[in-house]
Amino acid sequence: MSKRAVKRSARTLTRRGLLAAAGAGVAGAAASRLVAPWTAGAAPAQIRGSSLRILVWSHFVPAYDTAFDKYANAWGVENAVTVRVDHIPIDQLPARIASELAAGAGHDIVQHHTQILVYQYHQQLVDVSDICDRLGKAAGGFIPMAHQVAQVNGTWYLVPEFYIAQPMLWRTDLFTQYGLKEPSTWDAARIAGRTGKGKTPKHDTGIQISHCNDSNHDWRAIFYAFGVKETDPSGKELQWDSKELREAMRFGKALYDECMTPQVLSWDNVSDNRYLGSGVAIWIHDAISAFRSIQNVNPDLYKNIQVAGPWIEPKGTVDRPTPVVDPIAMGIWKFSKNQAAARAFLEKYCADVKFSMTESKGYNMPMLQGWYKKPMPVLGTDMTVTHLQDLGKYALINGYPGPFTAAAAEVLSTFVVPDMMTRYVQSNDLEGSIKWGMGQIKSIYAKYK
Amino acid sequence: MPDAEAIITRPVAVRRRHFTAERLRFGYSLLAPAVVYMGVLVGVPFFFSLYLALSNATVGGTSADYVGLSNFVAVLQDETIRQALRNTIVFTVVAGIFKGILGTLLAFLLIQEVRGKKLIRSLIVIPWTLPVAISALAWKWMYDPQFSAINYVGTRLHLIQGWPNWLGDNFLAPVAVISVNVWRGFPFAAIVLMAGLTAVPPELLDAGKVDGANFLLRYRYIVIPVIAPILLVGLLFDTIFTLSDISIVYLLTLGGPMGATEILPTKALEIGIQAGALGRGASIALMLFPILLPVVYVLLRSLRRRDTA
Repeated sequence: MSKRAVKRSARTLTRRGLLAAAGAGVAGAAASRLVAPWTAGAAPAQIRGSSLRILVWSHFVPAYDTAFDKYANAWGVENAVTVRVDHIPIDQLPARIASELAAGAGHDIVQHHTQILVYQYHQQLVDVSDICDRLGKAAGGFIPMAHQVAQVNGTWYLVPEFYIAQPMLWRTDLFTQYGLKEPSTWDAARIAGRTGKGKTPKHDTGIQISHCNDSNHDWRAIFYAFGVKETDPSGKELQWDSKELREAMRFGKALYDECMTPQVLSWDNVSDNRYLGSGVAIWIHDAISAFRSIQNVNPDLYKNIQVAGPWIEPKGTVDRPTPVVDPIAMGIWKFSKNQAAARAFLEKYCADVKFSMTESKGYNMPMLQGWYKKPMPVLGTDMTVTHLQDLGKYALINGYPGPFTAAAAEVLSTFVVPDMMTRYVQSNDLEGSIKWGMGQIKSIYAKYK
Repeated sequence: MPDAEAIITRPVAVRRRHFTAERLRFGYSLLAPAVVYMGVLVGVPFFFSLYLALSNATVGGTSADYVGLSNFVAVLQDETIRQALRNTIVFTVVAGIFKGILGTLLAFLLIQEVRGKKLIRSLIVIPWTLPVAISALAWKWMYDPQFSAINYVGTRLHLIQGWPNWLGDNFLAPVAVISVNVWRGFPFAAIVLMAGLTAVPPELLDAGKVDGANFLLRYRYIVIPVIAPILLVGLLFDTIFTLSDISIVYLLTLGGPMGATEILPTKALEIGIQAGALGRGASIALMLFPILLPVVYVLLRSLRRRDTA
């Protein structure tokens, strides 16, 4: 070892070194039990009598939590594994994941949600490429977006579970009444919003321009529709600052001025759900939970809502739909003492797309290509959401067209895009707002070089 | 008592040394639990944060390189973090002033002899005893842009014009956030003050009255000097609680609109946990330390001087 190398190694502060050394034996022992491959659903006999802890979010479709718990317990009974599932609110997942890793203890399987930091965590996650390869082989591979969510340099560190679509939810009764065209383009959506806002009672619309997740992905969906690219495909070179961004922001400002309630400046993730549920909104751009929540409380309103259309997502200037979705994937900690059971469960559960789609009432969208054969569970029989059956191949995530790198994650978590839009709609200073936003983004990316 | 006799018969110097060593052992053994408690619950997290702040640690990294003060330089160069620092200080000072004024008024009301005094005192402290998540969510509903109860009542009573967007306006949002903090905190201030006020000897106040001092003079020259130690400890607690309070902002605005309610704890969460940059997140959290240190030092020194006097 050279002098220079020694110096560098001395400067490096190791964390959890002791734990890593102690855990190495456990990991080695666990790995040795994984030599024999198993097919999906057939767990190895070695896991019998062990226990498995799973951490997931509290699903926006509460019935899914009950179904998932039953599913996990049934799998546990079948394989003589004691399974414990913990549900926590989505906002608490990032802190919980970080604290489990810091402590080197916690759950065996952890769900990573929306802001998936696979580039940050992959060194602490078990390589699950064998599981993903088998799942992919059996179901025609994963949709393109899944690779960006769960892979680092071609290795799978997370098993893609599902994603949440954020389509256009629009009022067919109002569109018919006002003689409007379907919102197949953002221009048509703008005309609809403007028309609705001019009516009495008004039926305007809204997209959050605030510090919340919906604001982050909804504005990106519009920006991408106008050709905005965050980076090059490698995720390293910034491409935000462009004429496409200016065009998209001008359009966004017009959308705000002509069609939206100023309340959007303080909306949270569910404010648009309430706006639709209150009967005011002519359209919103959100997950289908917004309209599922209306199903029982206001059936008359429910029957007048359509989710997306054959066009999938309103188009801008780019000749393809650019829906931005919230991905969900599951990973196994390297410190897990029961990796064999965790792997067996993940392979079984993530292959069971029918269960996922049916129990979530079509909320959980499949990551596996093979499940997009029509008719899909739920979506194929419910005409309101049937157009989501074509969403898979177009689904994009934040960071597009690059992967969701650590820098892209920081741009997202610090709400640069919503703040840039807020500045513009409040000040009417396009160049000043873009200059501020680009300054923030460049500064963030510079820290990761 | 043979032991006592043995001690008495020893030479004086040996006796003194024996007493001192024994007393020291006894004293330190009494102090030990507190020292261990402080060390484990305060010292370890503090030094771990310091270690993170001086490194490029990330949430998923196995090791972290020493980077000196570069995290602190980076966060100080960030305009949004400077804004969060300003907001944190303004938030603490303004909320502190209002909690002080309202707490004092409430404390004077609570020491009056009225029927149902105990019930009234119990009701008054409800905001402080409620879990912050529940009270903040209740306020979120009251500030809701579409269904705001404040706007509904206010407009009907002609107290409010238009339909203010409490959490979406750059000026109103900080006001709304500070109001909730004051609402939650002033019962605590009132209880602290009330405890002090009941300790003021009535004969001192009577003497003041005889000498012709009005209420304000009695308050300034009799009450405040007597209750100063309690006031200072209460102020210290409130400053620390408010500076590090993330819950209200997190539940009401998440730092929006445009960073108007962003404070250092929310910024540390966004960058350290949600984006995974632990090193920079820790350095943001530690920015509170140089603010708190002189405040704590001045308050404690003032307290000690009064004790000595």
